[in-house]
Order: sequence, then structure tokens, then C-alpha cells
Amino acid sequence: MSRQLGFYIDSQRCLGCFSCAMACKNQYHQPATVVWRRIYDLSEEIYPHRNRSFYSLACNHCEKPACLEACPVSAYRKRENDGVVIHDQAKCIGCGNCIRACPFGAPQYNPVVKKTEKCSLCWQRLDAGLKPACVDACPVKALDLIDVLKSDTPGTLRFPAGFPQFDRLNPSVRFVPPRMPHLVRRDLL
Amino acid sequence: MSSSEPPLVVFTVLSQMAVGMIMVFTGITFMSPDNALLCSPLVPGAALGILILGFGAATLHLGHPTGGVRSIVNLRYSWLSREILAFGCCGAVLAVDTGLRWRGYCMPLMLIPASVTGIIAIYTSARVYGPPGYPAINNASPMVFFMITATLLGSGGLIYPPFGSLANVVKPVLLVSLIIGGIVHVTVPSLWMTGGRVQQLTGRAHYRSVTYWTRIIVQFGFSLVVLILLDTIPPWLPLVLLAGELAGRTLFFSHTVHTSVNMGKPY
Repeated sequence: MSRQLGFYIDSQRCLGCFSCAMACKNQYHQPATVVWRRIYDLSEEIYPHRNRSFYSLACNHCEKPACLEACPVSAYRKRENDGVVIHDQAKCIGCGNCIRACPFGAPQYNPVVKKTEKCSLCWQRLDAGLKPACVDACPVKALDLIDVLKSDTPGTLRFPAGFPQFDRLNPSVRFVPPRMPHLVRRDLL
Repeated sequence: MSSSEPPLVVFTVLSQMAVGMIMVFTGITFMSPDNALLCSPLVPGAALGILILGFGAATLHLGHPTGGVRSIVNLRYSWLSREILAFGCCGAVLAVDTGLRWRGYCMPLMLIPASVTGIIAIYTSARVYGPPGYPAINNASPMVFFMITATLLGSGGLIYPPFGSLANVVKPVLLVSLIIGGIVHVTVPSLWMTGGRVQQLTGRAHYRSVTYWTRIIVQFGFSLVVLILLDTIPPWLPLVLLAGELAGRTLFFSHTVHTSVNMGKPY
């Protein structure tokens, strides 16, 4: 595989504004219960401060996708040129096996069409030379598209706290973890 | 919490019961070759019927049941495809065996491939229903649970009048299965409590469930006492075991916590 596209998530910049999730909804008009991109609030156990921190997560387009391995009708495929994991809804029989298999909760059941669906990394937009709708919508550049095989940004993590560690699946996502706030004590000034 | 998946509850329990009946009957056939049912089509026929019933229930969980015929396409990767193929092979062997017995041919050796394909099918089920998304059961525990279901319901199903001569033979199997099943189902949630956060949530969900404790007391405790105190197995006992297994499988699907539930929290 020449490239492996994935998301770059900068938790130091993310405001939790939901622009990415809204852009995804505007692009694909999924039913109300179907959410391809979710904003996860980090718990106090991980980020113990009053100002909040977030992970904006969708499908991680893993190197060895659990959904692709679980699907009995081969509705999933991984593109050779960029590693994007695509779900072919025409083949899907709605068994829900991929939903159970994916540890990141990416595949979602669409009760209207009675089939599964997930983030496609906007492959049609990629083929047209555009970035995914969520990346374009981020007002603070906290979300970006990178080639994880070439990207070597210092300070990024594959499995930060609050994100399940599945080495075998090798999710194509890189995180900038939240920075702990600098506390200033007035009495020491 | 996940969905309780009633069609999958019925499918897994009935398919494991069918395999259990054949496993126990194979053991009886080769350990006491003089039994009256040695060449009868009753047991393989009943197991086949239960397996078909289970398959019928399984199609109800599909969004598009007619597409189910394509579900062995991904044999290269998918344990679900392999599960359907394995149960299909088991059913085919049972159908051939039942047909031959019906026409007066006595070939007890056919029970061996039926049992072997059945055990392989249970193993594939354990792989399907213990995926990476559920750390608590992404290990050997589903295989242990499913084999307990198979031996409990397989031996329990053989006590009824058509198989009447087998009731006394299967009693020790039932007794041992109940003891092992009780120990396993009491112990496993405590093991989950020693694991990662998602496993702990699974263990806690089980301990907080009224169904879990009712099942432990009625299915394992009460049934064991009845089996020890009475000389014969009462006809309602296998029904209690079936109800217990259905309740237990519902817990398996609904109270096992998925990793995505804990996103943004410690793992």
C-alpha cells in the first residue's frame, strides 16, 4: 500500500464545537440516530481540569479492519491506493456483525434502510481532490487528513488515554493529547 | 449495554442444544452399544429439527433476511461465514444420517463426523460472538459457556419419552455439566472484575442483574439439588434448564459492555 490516509486529531486545539459532526451530517444526511462522527468529552480521570478536552472520532480506517474481517458478505473493502475502508451498502444484509466487531463503534445501524453504514472518509471528495467534509469544516484546524505512513509529527500518539488500544487492528489515526493547563498561583507572583 | 438480540439468543441456544444432543448420543452409542436407540433415526432427526429451528430464528436478526444465502462469501476472513458453513455441514451430516437410519441402514459411525462438525461449529460461534469490541468475551470464555449449554441441554433433551431408555444414562452427564456450569458462571464475572475498565463494567453489570442471580440460584442451585435428591429426572427439569440458558444468553448479549461505550474514559 503506497499511502494510508487517516485523521490527525489535535486535542489541544479542539473546542468541542461539533462543526465536524455537523459537516458530516450536512454532507450525507444520515437519519437522526445514525452518527458517523462523534465528539467524546474526556473524563476527569484523564483530564482533571475545569476547561474541557475532546476527541473527535469517526472510522479509523484501520490497517487490519475488524469490520472487514467480520462481514460475512464481503461488503467492506480497503482501497489499495490510499487505505480507505469502504462499505458497499448494496452488498450489506444488515447482520450487525461489523457493529459488534469494531472496538471503536464506527459502523452504525441505519434503521431506515436496515443496513449498516460508516464514515467513508469522503472518498468521493478525495477522488475529486478535496478534503473530507469534517476536516474542511474545523474552524481551528484541530482535525486534519494525513498519510500515517509518512507523517512523523513529534508529540503525536497512536493510543492516548481514553482511546482503546488495539495494536493488531492498527487504527490510522494520530492524536495530539491535551496539554495540562499551566497553573499560576497568585501568592507566588 | 448492547442489544439483547433475541433471534441470536434463540439461534445460539438451539444450535448448541442440537450439537449437545448428538455429542451425548455419540458417547452413549459407543460406550453402551446395546442401547435400544442405536439404529433409530429419532435422536439425529430431533437434533436436525432443533438445528433448523435455530437457523430459522437466526435469519430474523438480519435487516435483509433474503440476503442470508450470500453469507458464506467471506470464508477467508469472517468467522460468521465459517460458522454458517460449519453448522451447514453438521446439518447435512445429520440429514444423511437420519435418512439412512430411516431407510433401515445402521451406521453409528456417522455420529462421529456429526459431533466433530458440531463442535467445530460451536467453536466458530464462540469466535463470532467474542469479537475485539467486547474485551470481556474476546477470549476462551464464549467457548466454555457454549459447551456448557451444549452438554446441559443436549443431555437434558434426551430424557423425554421417545428417548426414554437414555434418561438414566444421561443423568451423570447432566450432573457434571450443572456443577461445572455453576462454578464457571459464578467465577467468570469475578475474573472480569480483575481486568480492564470495560471488563469491570461487564462484571459489574452481571452482578447487578437480578436475572443473573435468579439464574445461578434456580438453574444451577435448585436443579442440582433436584437432580441429587430424586432418582429420576423430572420432565420439567430440562425446561428449567432451557429457560435458564435463554436468560443467560440474553445476559451474554445485553450485559457485555462494548469498548466504544467507554471512549474518552480510562481503559
